Amino acid sequence: MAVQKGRSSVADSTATLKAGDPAPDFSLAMHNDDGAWTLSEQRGKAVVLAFFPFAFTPT
Amino acid sequence: MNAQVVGISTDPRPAQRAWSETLGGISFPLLSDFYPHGAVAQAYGVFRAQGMAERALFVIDADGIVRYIDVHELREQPDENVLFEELAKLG
Repeated sequence: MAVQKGRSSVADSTATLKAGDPAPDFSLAMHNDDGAWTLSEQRGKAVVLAFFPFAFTPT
Repeated sequence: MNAQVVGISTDPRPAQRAWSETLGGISFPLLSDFYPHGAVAQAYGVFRAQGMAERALFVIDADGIVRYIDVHELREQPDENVLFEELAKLG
């Protein structure tokens, strides 16, 4: 199935979050570095979290 | 604009590494939400029962507040221009 760009956003909130909520902190392993990436260490700059279903599918 | 982009999936790290190599390298980190499986996706409300994350974008401001959420059709790639517009709003 071809993946196409589109504006068909299906939701602007989730079961746990909506705009204005504090982002839950987390720490995860990075693919390209041995350290962990921690959200709370990014304070002072904007962050974009791009969740995607699987590697080998478009981000 | 000073924004950090990260990709997150429930894939194990070796799969993300292999994928990034087939793409010729990715300029931002891919984060492995593999174990405990999908814990971060669950916290953000984008974990699917099939074991993977939704295709979703969260813009978080410099104070750690969620400013924009876009949950997308799995088969569709979000339009990056929308994302740039949201980032521009943060100033």
